[in-house]
Amino acid sequence: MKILIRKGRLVDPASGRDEVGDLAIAAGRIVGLGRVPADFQPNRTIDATGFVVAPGLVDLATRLREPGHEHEGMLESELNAAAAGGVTSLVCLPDTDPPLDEPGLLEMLKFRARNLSLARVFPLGALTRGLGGDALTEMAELTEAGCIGFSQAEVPIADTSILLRALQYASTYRYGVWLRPQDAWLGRGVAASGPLATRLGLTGVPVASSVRAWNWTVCPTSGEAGLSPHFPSSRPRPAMSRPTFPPT
Amino acid sequence: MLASRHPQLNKHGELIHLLTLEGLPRDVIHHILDTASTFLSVHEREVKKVPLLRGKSVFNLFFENSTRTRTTFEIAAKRLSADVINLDIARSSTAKGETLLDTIANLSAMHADMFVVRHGESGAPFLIAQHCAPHVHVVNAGDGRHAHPTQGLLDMYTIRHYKKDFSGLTVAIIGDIVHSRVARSDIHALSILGVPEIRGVGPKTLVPGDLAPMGVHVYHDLADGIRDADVIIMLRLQNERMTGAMLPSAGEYFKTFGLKPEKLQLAKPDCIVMHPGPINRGVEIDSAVADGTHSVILPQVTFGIAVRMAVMSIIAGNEP
Repeated sequence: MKILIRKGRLVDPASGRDEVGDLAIAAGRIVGLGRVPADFQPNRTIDATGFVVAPGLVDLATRLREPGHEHEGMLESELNAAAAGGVTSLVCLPDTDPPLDEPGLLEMLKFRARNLSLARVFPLGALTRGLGGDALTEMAELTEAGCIGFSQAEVPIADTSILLRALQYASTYRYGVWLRPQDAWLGRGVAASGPLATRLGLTGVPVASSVRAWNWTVCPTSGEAGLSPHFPSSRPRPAMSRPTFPPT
Repeated sequence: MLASRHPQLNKHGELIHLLTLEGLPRDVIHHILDTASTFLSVHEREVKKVPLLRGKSVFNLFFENSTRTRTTFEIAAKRLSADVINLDIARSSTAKGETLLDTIANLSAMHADMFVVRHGESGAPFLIAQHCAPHVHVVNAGDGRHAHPTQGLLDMYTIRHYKKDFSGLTVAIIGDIVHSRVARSDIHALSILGVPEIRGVGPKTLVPGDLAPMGVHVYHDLADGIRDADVIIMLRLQNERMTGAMLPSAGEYFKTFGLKPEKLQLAKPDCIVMHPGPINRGVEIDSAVADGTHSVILPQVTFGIAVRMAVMSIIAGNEP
């Protein structure tokens, strides 16, 4: 199978390319980028005028609604939407109902996603049982069942001693942890603290919410715990550049 | 100088209390182990007694529950012909609100000669040793997470019995080191006796990363930690650690850090497997290993009585 994609805006972050041109694919591999080999005889030609042609996007923090929230979206509808938006791989958060804290749930999700053959699904397992923030999940078992890391989704662990243990346990096996750096109490607002939130009468999320949470997420397991790019407050970056390390 | 640093030594450097193994001179440890070996044969006699502590009163003060350790101390004291008094201290004096030092003062007034103390707080036996009458000797039978020196000594006895020499050994201590007084006493003793490679093995929630100043190499992978070990000391995993923030489940612990026959093959062919007991089969150790040819768990118990006899007879024989 040979495909020619013509006149698309070719975007390739790896090489820094961003220009209008043609792309030739043979047997699933790129054989011409920008310029097409003279002898290339496509089976199919796609006119991509006005479209971006880019490597498949990876969404690092997706919510799939199955199981438990099928009325909001089915696995097929979510993966179709992902593929339509150019997302070929997605990492899904564990806050389904029930949460992804059992190997069987992960195996079922992987199996169903594979059968749909739309976007590839890389699930995150729950960091604590039922996302309750009390007891660790069987991370080794969940990893064997196919999860690529662990997360609390949007349910922060209130007890920071348990958060510390969870990060220590995960880093024993070098498992990645996706954390939303948002303090459980300070982060309860709906908008970044500031004049806009004040004017609109919205409960603000102060910068301290992210700073406090960030200080924890970079604690002794730094370098081994991953992070999701959720920053709910307005100025987290300066704090990120000079994290303070709490005593272990 | 030595005596001021070590309240358990008198001015001649002799042992008058046994509170911790940390900082004990190597010859003091070997003297205890040598003495213990002379007591081993007492167990096989028709009359299992020697008269070394005849007329002395040994008070077992267990502020924390224990059956096994209390019993072994009781057997050891009785084989030395001492009178043994077991006090249900946790449910009497302490429950009535008496302070620790008042309890000790009262018991000293009953002319006790030796206190065998187990306490949930690290350091309690030190406090008792500092405040009891000069003629009273104190043996620490386990204080908090700090020390369990007689267990440490019986572990050293066991290693010396099977390996003869400490100078070329690799010893892996596996499991819940952070909560273990046994591990701390073992580490100090192994270090004093010149073991060149002491390893702490377990998940990061149970094995602190800052053990290097104690001379311990930390491993968070069982296979790496066990490789070429001469001695494996398994630690008991307490039930309350198995579910919660320390570990997700007993099953996952067994899968990742449980000692199974295939893992044991990574150690030296003549390695010995030790455990302070009580063992959790299928949690920290597979039955095939606990009952296997490398296991010296039951001999440890036998040696434990001889070692406790040695400790009690030595400290009772030294002047304050």
